[in-house]
Amino acid sequence: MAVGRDSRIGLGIVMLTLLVLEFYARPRIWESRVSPDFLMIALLIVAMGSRPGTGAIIGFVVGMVTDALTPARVGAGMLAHTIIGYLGAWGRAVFFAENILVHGAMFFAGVWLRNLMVLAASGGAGGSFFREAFVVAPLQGLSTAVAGVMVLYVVKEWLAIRLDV
Amino acid sequence: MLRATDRSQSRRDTAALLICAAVSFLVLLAPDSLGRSVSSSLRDTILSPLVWLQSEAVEGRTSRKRFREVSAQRDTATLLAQNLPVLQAENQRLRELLALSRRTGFRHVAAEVLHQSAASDGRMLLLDAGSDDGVAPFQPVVAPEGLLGVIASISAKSASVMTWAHPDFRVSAFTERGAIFGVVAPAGGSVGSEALLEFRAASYRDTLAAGTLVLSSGLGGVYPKGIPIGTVAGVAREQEGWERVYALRPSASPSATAHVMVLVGRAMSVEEAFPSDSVVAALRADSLRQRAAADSLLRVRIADSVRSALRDSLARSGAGAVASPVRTDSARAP
Repeated sequence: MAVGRDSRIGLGIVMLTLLVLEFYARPRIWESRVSPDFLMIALLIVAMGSRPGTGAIIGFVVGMVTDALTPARVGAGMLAHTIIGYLGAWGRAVFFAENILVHGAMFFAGVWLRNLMVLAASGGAGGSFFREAFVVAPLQGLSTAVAGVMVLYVVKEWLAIRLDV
Repeated sequence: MLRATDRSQSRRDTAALLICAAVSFLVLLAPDSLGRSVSSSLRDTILSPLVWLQSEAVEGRTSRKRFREVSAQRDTATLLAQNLPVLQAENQRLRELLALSRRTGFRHVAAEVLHQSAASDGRMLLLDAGSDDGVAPFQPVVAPEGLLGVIASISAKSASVMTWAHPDFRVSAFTERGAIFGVVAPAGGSVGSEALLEFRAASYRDTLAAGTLVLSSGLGGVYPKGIPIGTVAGVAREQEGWERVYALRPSASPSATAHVMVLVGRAMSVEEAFPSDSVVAALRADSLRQRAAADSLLRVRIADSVRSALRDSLARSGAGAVASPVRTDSARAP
């Protein structure tokens, strides 16, 4: 996914739309623990078109936002999103597949890993940790993967993405 | 072999990752208060448009539902209000009889919960009310079902709540009848998909039946007395024959709560609203003494009035009858 100069405006619009989806549409339509995480979709879309270092920095900023909004343990979100941003960019370079399933899998793995790291870093109570890690997080990863693939499908022209099934 | 520019880029990527991760680690290891104050500052400045956007969305989603609920409540209240003067009079009479004061209402701030998609959402909640509304740290947050948590940090327009699911949460509690005191904390395990609480420090000789309601005791000065925390689900574990830990099913669920009340004002008269058991016992004893005195006085008055009524009737029936208190018709010879 090459983010050229022409598609930067498109990328900006997509990011703005995802922010509105996260903070306006999601609470209004489907406010649930397993609802799609549009911030993670935005992070991975940007990270997949950037270098790993840039992905890490963007992840750090996104983590700061999530930590400020639910400060269970400030810093846990920053660390998790930094690593996800880096891995997203790095994984994109390694897999290099414009495949819809690969993108979906990246969204799924991103959310699941992020939740695992946040839970581990913020210190969870035993039973609820396993429920969060192996029930809630995979479900949220699944919903995010579906939403992410749909977003990519809609904006593929703007972001010059080629999606093979 | 990598070219020099690629190597340089690669080094820069690694450096960016390491710096970001190091800063995250530092923040993670820093004191909680510092992190929370930074979060509050961010919410008040850069993130305020996002908080406002979410607050509007939540308000929009709930307004229609709330309007219907309020309409229904208003209709019910109108019906109930017709009987209110009678009930108020009866309540006042009973309170005077028991020498109890009027129940004090708590000052509170209503707030909406702004749920996030983060994994830690159940432990910390974001409210759309802040210091501008009178919210301050360490104020209790309650849902209609019971205790939800305590204000952890505030900003001008928002506040974060540490719910009972947070590992650091503790509240002093007692059972419904006030017999057993203990400390409630989040449980390590869960039953199915349900997170539980633990009622700790209950002595081994005391047993609690399943379904017993556990309330905040008011000790410690943060939570007022009498807020429902949960009901006993069973014995969680026993420790060396001196302590029994009970599993509690929480009254309020953080993830399912949309509206909460923050109990504000440190000067609220908790004791007046929830008098302690010794005070209640003293008031009852006093009331019983007064009642006994009133009863004996009443008996004397009744006896006096009966005596005077008898005297009058005898005086009307003639002087001869005064000697004998027997009715004339019954004294007549056959």
